[in-house]
Amino acid sequence: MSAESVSRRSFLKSSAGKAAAASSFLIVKPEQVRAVGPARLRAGLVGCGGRGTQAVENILNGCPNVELVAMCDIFEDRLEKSYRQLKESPRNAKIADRVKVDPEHRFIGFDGYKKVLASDIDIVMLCTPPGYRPEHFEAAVNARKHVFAEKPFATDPVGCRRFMAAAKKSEELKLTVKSGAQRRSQREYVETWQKVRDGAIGEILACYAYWIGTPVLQFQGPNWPYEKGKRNPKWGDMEYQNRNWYSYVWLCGDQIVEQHIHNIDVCNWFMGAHPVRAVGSGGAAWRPREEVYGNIYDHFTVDFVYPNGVHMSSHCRQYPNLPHIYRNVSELLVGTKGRTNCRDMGTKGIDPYVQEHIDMVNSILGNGPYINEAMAVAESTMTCIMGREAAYSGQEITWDMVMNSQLDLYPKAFSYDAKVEVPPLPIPGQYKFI
Amino acid sequence: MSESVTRRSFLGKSAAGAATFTIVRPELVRGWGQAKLRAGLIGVGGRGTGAVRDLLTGNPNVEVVAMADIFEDHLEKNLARLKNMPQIADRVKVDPEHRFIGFDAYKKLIATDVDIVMLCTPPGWRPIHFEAAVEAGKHVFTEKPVATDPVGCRRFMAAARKAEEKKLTVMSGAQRRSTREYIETVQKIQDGAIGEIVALYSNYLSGPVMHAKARDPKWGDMEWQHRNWYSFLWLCGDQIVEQHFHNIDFINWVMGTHPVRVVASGGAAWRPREELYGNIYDHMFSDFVYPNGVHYSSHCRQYPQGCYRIVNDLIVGTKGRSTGNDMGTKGINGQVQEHIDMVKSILGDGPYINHGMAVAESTMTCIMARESAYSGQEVTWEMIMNSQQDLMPKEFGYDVKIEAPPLPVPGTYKFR
Repeated sequence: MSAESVSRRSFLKSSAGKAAAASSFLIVKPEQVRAVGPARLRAGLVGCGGRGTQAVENILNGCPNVELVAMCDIFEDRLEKSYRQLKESPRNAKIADRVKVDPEHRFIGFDGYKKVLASDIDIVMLCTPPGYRPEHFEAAVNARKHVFAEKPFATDPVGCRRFMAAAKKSEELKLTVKSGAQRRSQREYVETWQKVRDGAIGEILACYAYWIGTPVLQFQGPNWPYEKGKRNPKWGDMEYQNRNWYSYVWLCGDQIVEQHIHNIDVCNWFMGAHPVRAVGSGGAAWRPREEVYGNIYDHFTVDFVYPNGVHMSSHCRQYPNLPHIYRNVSELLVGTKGRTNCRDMGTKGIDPYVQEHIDMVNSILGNGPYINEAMAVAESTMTCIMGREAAYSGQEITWDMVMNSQLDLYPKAFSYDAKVEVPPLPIPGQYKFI
Repeated sequence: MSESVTRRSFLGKSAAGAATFTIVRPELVRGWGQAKLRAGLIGVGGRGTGAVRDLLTGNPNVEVVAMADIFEDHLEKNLARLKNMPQIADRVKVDPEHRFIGFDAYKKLIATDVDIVMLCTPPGWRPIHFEAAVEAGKHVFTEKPVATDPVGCRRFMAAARKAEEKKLTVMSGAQRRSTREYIETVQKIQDGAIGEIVALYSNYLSGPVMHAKARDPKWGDMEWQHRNWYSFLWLCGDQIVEQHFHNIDFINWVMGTHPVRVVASGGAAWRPREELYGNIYDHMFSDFVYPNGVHYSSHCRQYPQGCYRIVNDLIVGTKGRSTGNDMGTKGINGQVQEHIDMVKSILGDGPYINHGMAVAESTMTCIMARESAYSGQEVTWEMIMNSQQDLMPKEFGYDVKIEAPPLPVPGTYKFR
C-alpha cells in the first residue's frame, strides 16, 4: 500500500496542451473555407444505430453550418430507419433539410466506412459498436478527416493501441477529434474540473465511479422488428452478433468498457492521469447462460490505483430493471478540504450531447480551442480494459501488462454469414490473460 | 452526502472499559491459587482446537474439562491432538463423562461446573449457544462471526446486553482487538495521527475454504451440511460474514461506529453449480457509508490458485494513511493475547472486557452487505435491524432433511 511515485502522463500533457490551445485561437486549416461562408461543413455517419442517429440530430441542431451527406451501416434496414427518422420525424423538422444523403451516398456493407470516407466530407462520425472503432478511426485519420468518435475507442488492448497510434498521427495532422465522452463538454463538469484543479477540494485522496444501471439488450428495444430475444434462423453468426452486439465482448467490450468508461474517464480527467494497476472481481449474477446474453458479465467492481497511490473504487453493473433494485450513475471525489460529485461547482449549460458538437465544429473552424481527445479517451478505454481483464482473470493487472497485452478479439474476416465462435463466459482461475 | 454522526456503543464501551479495573466477580477464587479456571469447548473443529491451545498456552491457571460436538470422530481426533501438545497436555482433563455428543451436547456442557465456555462451532449456531451460556452465567469466548442472519444476530445482541448486566466477560475471536500493533495504531489514528479519516478500504482476497471433498451417501442432509459447513449459508453466513468479518470489524472499531447503508454486488464467478459448493458466492464488493458520509470499499473473494491474493486494510486521512497496524509495536500472537486478556478480565486483574455488542454490530454490518449483494437493493441499518430473515432450521437430527436454497440471483432473490 505504499505510495507510488507520481509520473506525468499524457493526460496532463494533453490538458496542459488544451489550456495552451484555449488561449490561442488559431485557424487550424486555413485552406478550409466551407462553413465560414455559405458553404457548409459536410459530415458522414458510420454506424446508423440509435446512438449514431442521435449524434447526427445533435450535430445538426447545434451547428447550422453542418450538413449530413453520407451514411453507412452493415444493415440496410438500420440505415433506412435512421435516414427516415432524420428526414421525417416531426422533432427533426428543423434539421431535415440538412440531411442530404442521396441514395448513392447510403453505403451498405462491411466496407461502407471506406466509401463514406471517400465521399467529399469534412467530418466523419464513428458510431458503430466499439469493436470497429480502431479500424475506422485509423482509416479516417489516414483520409485526414476530422472525427467525432463515440466512446469507447476499442474493446481489446491490440485495438486500443492501434487507436493510440492513429491518435498520435491525428495530433500531428492537427485534426480535430471529439469523443462521445460528453461530460468533457458538459459545462457543470468543465467548470467543476477547473475549480478542482484550482484546489477547491484540496488534494484528491479518493475517487469513486459508479454505473449501477440496467441491462442493455438490443433485442429488447420497443421497435425491434423481430421476436424478442430470439435469433432469426436466417442470420449467420456475424449478422446475429452485430444485431445483438452488446452481448459480445469483441463488439461491446463488456459494460465496464462500453458504459462505465463515462465515469472512469471523468476520474482520469480530474486526476490528470490514468491508474497504474487494477484488482477486480465480477461475474454474471443474474444473466442466464443463454445465447442471447452472450459472453459478458453483469457486474464489475475494480480497485484502481493511480500513480500517486490514490484509489478509484469503480462499481458497475446491469441488474434487472425492477423498482427495488438500486441504481446510481455518478462520480465522487474526496479531497483534503472537501468533496465533489464532479459537477456541483459548475453552472448548468446546454445539453452536452449538443455542446460537444458545437465545440468540435469551433475547433475545426479555428473559432475555439483546438480539441483532440483521442489519446485521453483512448487511455480511459485502456483503463477500463485493464479493469475488465483483472476481473476476468482474477489477476492484478498493471498498466504495463495491458499496454503489452496481445489480446486481439477482432475477427479476421467479415461477411454476413462468417462463422464467429463465442468464447465462454470468463471464469477466474481458468481465463488466461494474454 | 454528509450525514449526522451518531455515537454508537463501540466508542462508549472501549473508552470506559480501559480505564476501570474492577473485580467483577469477587466471589471467584478459581484461577488465583491452586484451583484453576475451568473451561469447556463447544465445537471441537480446527478452530476450537486452536482456541483451546491458545487459551492454555497463554494461561497456566486454566484447564479444559469438557467438550461438546455433534460428531464423535471430530471430538476424539482433536482431543487426541491436544493431548499430544506437550506444553498443555496436563491441563487437558476431559474425561469420557465430559465428552458430549449430539445437537444438545452444548446444554450438557454448559450444565457442568465450568467457568468459561468457548463457542467455536460454525457461526449459525452461535446465537443459541451464546444465549444459553449467558443464561447460565458463564464467561464466554465466542468465535467470530456471531450469527449468520439478522434474527440470529438480534438474539445474540439481546444476550450480549444481558451479559453486560451480569458483568460476564465476553471475548470474541476478533483477535485484532487484542493485537498490540492494531491497538496502538488505532489509538494513534483516533488521536489524529492521519488527520480526519476520509476513505477506507479492505481486501480479503483469498482461496476457497472447503471442509469436505464429497458427500458420503450415508450422511443425511444435516450431517452432510455440517461436515461441509462453509458451503451452506445458514451455517457459514457466506465469506463476507465468516471471514471478511475480520476487516469489517476492524474498520468499525477504527470508526467507532458501524455503517448506516451499503450497496454491494457479488456472485459465483468460478464456483461450480454443484452440491459440494452449496449456496454461497465466491466474490463480493461492498460500498459502505458511515454516518459521517465516509465510504468504506470492501472487497472479498475466494478464488482458485493462481489468482491475486491479499488481505489488508487502508485508512486514508487528510494528513496521511495507515494500514491499521503500521504505527504500533509488535506484541505476542493476538490469538494467544486475547485469551490472556479474557482471563484477566474474568479475574478482575485487567480491564473488564465484553465484546458482545461490538462484534454483533460488525456481524450485522457484514450481513447487511451480503443481503445487498444478493438482492441488488441498497440496504440500510434500519432495514437489516428489522429484517425477518431467519435461516436457522426448526428441528435438528443427523438425518433431518434440509433443502439448500438456490444461489441468490439479484432481481429474483427477496430481501425480507
